[in-house]
Amino acid sequence: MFSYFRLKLMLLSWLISPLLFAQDSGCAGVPGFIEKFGFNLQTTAISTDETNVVGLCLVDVTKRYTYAQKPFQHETWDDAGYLATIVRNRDGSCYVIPVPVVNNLKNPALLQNIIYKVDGQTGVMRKHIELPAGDKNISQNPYGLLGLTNDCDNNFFYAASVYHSDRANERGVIYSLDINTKEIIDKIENIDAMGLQVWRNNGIKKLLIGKARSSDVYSVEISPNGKFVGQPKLEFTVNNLGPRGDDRVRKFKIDPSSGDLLVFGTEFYFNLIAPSKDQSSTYRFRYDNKNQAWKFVGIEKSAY
Amino acid sequence: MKFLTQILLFFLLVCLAISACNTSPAKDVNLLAVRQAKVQQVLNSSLPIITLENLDKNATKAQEVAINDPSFQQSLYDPQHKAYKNEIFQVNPLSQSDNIQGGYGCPDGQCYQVEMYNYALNRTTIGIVNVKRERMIKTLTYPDVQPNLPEHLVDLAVYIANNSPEVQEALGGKPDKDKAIMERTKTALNKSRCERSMHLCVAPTYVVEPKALWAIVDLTDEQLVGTRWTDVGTTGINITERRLQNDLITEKYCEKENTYAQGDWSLKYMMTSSDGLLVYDVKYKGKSVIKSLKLVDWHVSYSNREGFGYSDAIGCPYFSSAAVVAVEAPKFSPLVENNDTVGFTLSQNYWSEGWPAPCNYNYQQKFEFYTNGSFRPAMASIGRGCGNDGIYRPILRIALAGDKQNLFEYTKDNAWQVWKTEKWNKQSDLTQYSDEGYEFKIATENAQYYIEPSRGQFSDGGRGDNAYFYLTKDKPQADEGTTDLPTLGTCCNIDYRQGPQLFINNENTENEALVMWYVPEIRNDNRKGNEYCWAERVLEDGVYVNKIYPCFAGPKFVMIN
Repeated sequence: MFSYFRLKLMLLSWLISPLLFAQDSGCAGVPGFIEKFGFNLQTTAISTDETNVVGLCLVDVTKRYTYAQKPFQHETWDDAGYLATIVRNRDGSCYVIPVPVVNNLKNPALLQNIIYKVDGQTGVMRKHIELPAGDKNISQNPYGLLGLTNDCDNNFFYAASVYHSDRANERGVIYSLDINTKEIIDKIENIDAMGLQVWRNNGIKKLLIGKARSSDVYSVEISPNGKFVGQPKLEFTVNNLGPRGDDRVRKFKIDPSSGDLLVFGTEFYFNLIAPSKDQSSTYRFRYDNKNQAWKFVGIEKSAY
Repeated sequence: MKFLTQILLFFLLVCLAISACNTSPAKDVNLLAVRQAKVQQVLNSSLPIITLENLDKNATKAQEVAINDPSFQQSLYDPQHKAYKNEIFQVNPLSQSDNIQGGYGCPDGQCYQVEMYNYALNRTTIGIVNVKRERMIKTLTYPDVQPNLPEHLVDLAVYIANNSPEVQEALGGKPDKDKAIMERTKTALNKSRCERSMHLCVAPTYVVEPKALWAIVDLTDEQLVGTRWTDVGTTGINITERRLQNDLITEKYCEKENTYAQGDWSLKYMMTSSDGLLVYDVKYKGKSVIKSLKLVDWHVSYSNREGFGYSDAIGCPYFSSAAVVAVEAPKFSPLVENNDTVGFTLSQNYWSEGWPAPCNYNYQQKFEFYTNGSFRPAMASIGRGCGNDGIYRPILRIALAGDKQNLFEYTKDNAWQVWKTEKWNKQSDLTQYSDEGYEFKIATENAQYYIEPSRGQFSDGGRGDNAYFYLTKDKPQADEGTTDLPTLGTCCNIDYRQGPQLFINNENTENEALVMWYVPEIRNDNRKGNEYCWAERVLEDGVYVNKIYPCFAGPKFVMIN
């Protein structure tokens, strides 16, 4: 017996976005399990954002799902509760993180620092990397991992955890991970972050970091071997932008046509309220190489 | 004739608003009264747009063309043809860069940009007008965008702030109006936001070295939202509605124990992470009578969709496990029955940002303390939820003070039977009540109470509790609610399995410290005239206001002797 979540209108979408395989770009491979499960690559998306579905599912975008007729789920895809941030590797494997929605019933607070892997061929989801966890202030902070991204040039993944943070203490960690060996390569401590994105400019590779406690975006240089170089520096902020003005950056995306940075913001105050999709905005930023600064271009309609 | 009456009424209201109508200097003008009179007059007119005055000839023409153009009038009325409050904020010559980028092809100086704000919809409409040709070139609409304020609204915001008791209390007196307006370095109108209400808000700011007082004014509702001191050196982060509210609740109620005393009562209270407002260490006439009262969870299920619903925790807005958070501070108010003050009430609201839109929620806790020693913990849903088939089951935890307690159930013929072990029951048509309406009686070392469930007899609109009642032994070391409880049970069980049954282990409950769990079962209703656990937005005076239909539930503990 599980409690279904509220209507699509209210689904927590700040970390979540369905990926249509045929439209995807970058280094994300196509999972073999899509066709194995009988789905058409051209019309199928993998999603953590469907009404009445806990965890991951495959969505045929040509179909209309109902309360009774739900999207396809492998039997392991709801094992970790509600999930977010699907990152696909070259081999088509999908990596996801758990994020509680409205309450901790499906997402026990002590199990929120685990990266799960959905095998690209079999579709079976299993625990992949258990990041340092242990005791935490559950009543003040039900969250663990909030961000995950990868570097298309290698096997390095970057994960943001706020597991040990509470109201008075910013104890978040950004991990650099080798996704194959499961080794922690490096980490930055005492920083609460959500959105992460690898960004290259003039031959320098940086990790963009959306802060979880403010509307600021920081960056830190990353070396070819996945180590962090120096301390995070402020790049820009979405403070006072958009209809709310206090959004946190939950996700980034590089617009392949323009090279612009799309910055996805939403309300986030380390509680379990469910912001509706109306309460999410996409901000477009462009890097000005001459002045070495980001320029705010405008606000776009929310994109999911 | 009607038009003439409106004009006369308008001038009458203006005169009333100005003390000593014909002789008073401008500083005595009650700007708020003038404003409200003007809004009413415009809303009742055939073209409900508040226009800008004292414009030059071209700007006046541009405004006139714009407000009379059908494309500019798209958001003047709601679907029932009730007028929204719309106001022209700016009329300016079109800049050359906008002219070029917009591709309007306006010869120099011929085009104007007219900006209109819709308060109800939080929407800006911009009209590009060629004044020479007296034609609208283009109309653009921007949801969630607010134009720059005209001078008279700056004055209104400062007036509201200057005249608010909060500002006057913070500054030690009423700020000088003229000085405030003229010396911008001392008082500035900072940009602010009302992220929750999505209203038009600004913040008159008063510098009192080394600090600055921000007073957030809501120009949609034309009232003060709140105040906050900051360091003058602080830059970058504006004080906004949500920041102000979250900081206030966090600092004063989530991180700090509060005490209150009135008459024979004294109590402590604090906001929890996920169990709502906790009232504890309650004394009556110096004796401890209540250990703690709190609201652990709200279970909401929908009868037409099996298994659909959710378990909502309520509590602190920042770093918490709450799904619906406290927005305003707890309030104390007189408890009045039959025009007589019989005690006081402590109440606390929690709401989702989009409430009362569908699938958003508003909950209320209230604790009534009677002068005669009785008390009543109660709660209500104020809608609106995801449908009209909702059933709310709030989980109230009640722990009285004392290590030796006994609970008795009314059977019949004035007989009371003790509950010897942990168990539960359900209020139903078969439930036996004493003549006074009492179902239980509880005795502690310091006090005895009858327990009177709601059957619709309380004067707060409640229609009856239909409650599950659980009795468990108080085990402070066993993590059964002494501290903040995580979500207790799933949303959608339709029987006694609401969570507290997990703590029932057939343990002895005679002469023990006890915990009572009270879980009313309340069905919402949206039928016209029968609304219950419901809320809706209605258009009043050109802006949306919330009409609420709370469904209060909760037992009264009637002190014996």
